[in-house]
Amino acid sequence: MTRRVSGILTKDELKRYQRQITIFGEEGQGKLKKAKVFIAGAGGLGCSIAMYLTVAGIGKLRIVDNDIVALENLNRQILHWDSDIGKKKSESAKGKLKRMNPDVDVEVISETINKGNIDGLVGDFDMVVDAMDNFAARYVLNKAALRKKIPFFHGAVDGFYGQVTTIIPGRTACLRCIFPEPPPITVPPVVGVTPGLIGCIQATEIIKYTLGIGSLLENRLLMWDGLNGKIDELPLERNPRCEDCGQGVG
Amino acid sequence: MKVKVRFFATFRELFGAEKEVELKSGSTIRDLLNLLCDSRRRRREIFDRSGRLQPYVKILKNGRSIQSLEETRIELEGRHIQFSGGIHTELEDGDVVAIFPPVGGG
Repeated sequence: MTRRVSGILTKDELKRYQRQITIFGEEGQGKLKKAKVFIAGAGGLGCSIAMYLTVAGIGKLRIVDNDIVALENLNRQILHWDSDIGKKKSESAKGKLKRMNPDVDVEVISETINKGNIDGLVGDFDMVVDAMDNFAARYVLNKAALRKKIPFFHGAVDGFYGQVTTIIPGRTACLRCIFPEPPPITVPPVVGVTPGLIGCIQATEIIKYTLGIGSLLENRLLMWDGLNGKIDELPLERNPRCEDCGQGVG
Repeated sequence: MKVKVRFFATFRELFGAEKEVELKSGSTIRDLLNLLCDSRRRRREIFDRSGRLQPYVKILKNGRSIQSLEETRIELEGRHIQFSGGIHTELEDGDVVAIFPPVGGG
């Protein structure tokens, strides 16, 4: 039995999040509890993002993934374990996340994201997180976030390399402004630590956005080179002729 | 003149992280790319078979995307055609050019 304190957080929650309430205050923790985050994908990036948002106390997560756990996923998709091979990734992820933090409302949907179902899938969620493995799906998410005027947290990886930025509709370059054309479709090599790290940066951005603190990666593309231990930041700008967010696009 | 070229992401494996390149004054981004693509493998990463820039390759000149600088064709006296902007953007001494592909995995 948990006792309500200050109308927002229970006694257990005050204790669970004690070390971060020192930074955010109870009010901030309350904001995280009210947040609803849509995570597209439960692969390398999705596992990392979902784990850290779960332990941070984000109120509601909706994770969409239509894949089945396979042995070759296990070097990087850390919510899926050896005993999960053959299970739906969405269900495997949910099981672990609920055990990490039963207070978080984790909803999973086993569907493949496309332009026909995306608006319904995102529903009334506050934020969209990119944890996809291809640009076609990323462009679908980008457009949905633009239509709904909600932030879109982009991340992508290849080998030891990663890139991450935060897209705020109307304020920053959108994914199509940054990358007007998709790279060729390949099955890139991935070392598990790379999506682990890039996903953590995306989760950091989501926490900051929810709390309204710090400086977001707005119009900044953070480039991680794990092989050389180097981080660079490249400036971004909106493309007025962008086919997804340019002038005249409704 | 000298320009600094910085590569990011998987291009680092093929081109290294950073290079200083000596160019004739008046050189363009295309001239720079031609110089950098000194092997078939490097060329294939930057240009398609017909010699056009691969559409997904991102190039920033002093932090500004060259793709956002409009490419224009100017016809002079009905025959001379001049290009400016995009890959035809002129470089100046001390410019920093960043070149990279998007990474796509998750």
